[in-house]
Amino acid sequence: MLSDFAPILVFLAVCVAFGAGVQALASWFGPRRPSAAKDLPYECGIVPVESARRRFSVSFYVTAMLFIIFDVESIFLLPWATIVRQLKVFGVVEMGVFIAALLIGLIYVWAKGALRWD
Amino acid sequence: MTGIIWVAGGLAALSALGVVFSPQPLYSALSLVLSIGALAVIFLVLNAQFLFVVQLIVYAGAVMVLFVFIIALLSPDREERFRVDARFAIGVTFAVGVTVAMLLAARNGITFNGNGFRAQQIGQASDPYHGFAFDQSDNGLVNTAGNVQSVGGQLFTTFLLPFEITSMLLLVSAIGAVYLTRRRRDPNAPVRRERALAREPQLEEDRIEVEVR
Amino acid sequence: MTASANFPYLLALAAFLFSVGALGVLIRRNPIVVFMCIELMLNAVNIVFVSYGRFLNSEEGQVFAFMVIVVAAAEVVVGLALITQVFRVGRELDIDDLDELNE
Repeated sequence: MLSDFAPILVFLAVCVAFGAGVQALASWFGPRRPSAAKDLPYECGIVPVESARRRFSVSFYVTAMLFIIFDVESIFLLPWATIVRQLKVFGVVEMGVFIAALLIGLIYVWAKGALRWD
Repeated sequence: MTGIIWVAGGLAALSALGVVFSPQPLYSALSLVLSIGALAVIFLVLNAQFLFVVQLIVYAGAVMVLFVFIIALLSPDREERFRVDARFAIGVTFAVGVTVAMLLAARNGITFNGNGFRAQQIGQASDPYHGFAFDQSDNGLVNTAGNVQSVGGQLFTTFLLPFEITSMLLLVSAIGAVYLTRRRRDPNAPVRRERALAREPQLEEDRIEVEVR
Repeated sequence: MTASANFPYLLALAAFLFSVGALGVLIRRNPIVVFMCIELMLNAVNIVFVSYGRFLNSEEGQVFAFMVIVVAAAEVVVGLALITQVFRVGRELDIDDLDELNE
């Protein structure tokens, strides 16, 4: 029931309170001497040369897209796993058909080279 | 419980306004994440624990990451002017009208009985909402077996055909998306790159990302 | 605590989210944001499914909402891939410019 989720709420409250509290304490007690060099984004000590607002490679998109497809597939596996004992052979067969269809997709994606990163 | 619904609902409504009225696409995406999280909390209050998890994992976790990637891919910094024309007027009128009508209907009470839904005026019944009493004595039928099991039981028996069709849908979307985004060498690609470079000469240095693969 | 009074207000919230999403589809020019507004409308429908399922004490509403989420994920994958393709043809990201299919 809903009260079972009260620990999550407490956890969230503690997280927010801790994060905000540490920030507030640091801003109250810490010394503050700003300079131009301190405002630069830190990149392993290297001075940044160009804007960070540049276009990303499409490889990121392809990877995220494949992640969604197989994420949804694994979400289907979660309720199936809780009741597979009651469903018996029927459940195994229907999930087998489901996974076989997505396996075809995986093979296609693999053959097209969308899993390679370059 | 009532308070949680009101807080989460208000948060969802405010962040929905943020989605529509943020000039930057990235702020719209972040507002949508907030709205989706608030709706997940409402699902939790409504005894849909499985949907709570699915909403967070699939929507807030995966779909929104895809949105953020596509924003980073296509429009890194782009402000937008809204259309202010007849469509704006129609849309605002529609939104305000529907919301006000539904809120008025909710305040006046809509009851449900065997004959269907019926609006009721205030004061006719001592409790105009009696028809809506959620089953508070136990957790109701929904949770007798545990939410994930009961939803899964429906999904894998009664809704077997939609479940299997979903696999076909996912297969088609995987193939379609890979087909659409795969790199290909078509003859007009250089022309296109030159056009982009002529429009924005500063793209010269990161030409690799711009060129059509 | 009576949660009973909340049910019609949940429907009102869903109506609000749906109509705000429709407003966004009408007034935004960026196709990515238009997609986000469509997601907002789908989420509004999910609230209706889940709250009716709660009200009628049936889990079928949750199954339908689950299906809506899955279909929305598939739709987003294909739709955003289409947007990348349209962008590569060398146009600005403006939905009003995408009227080439009319001709």
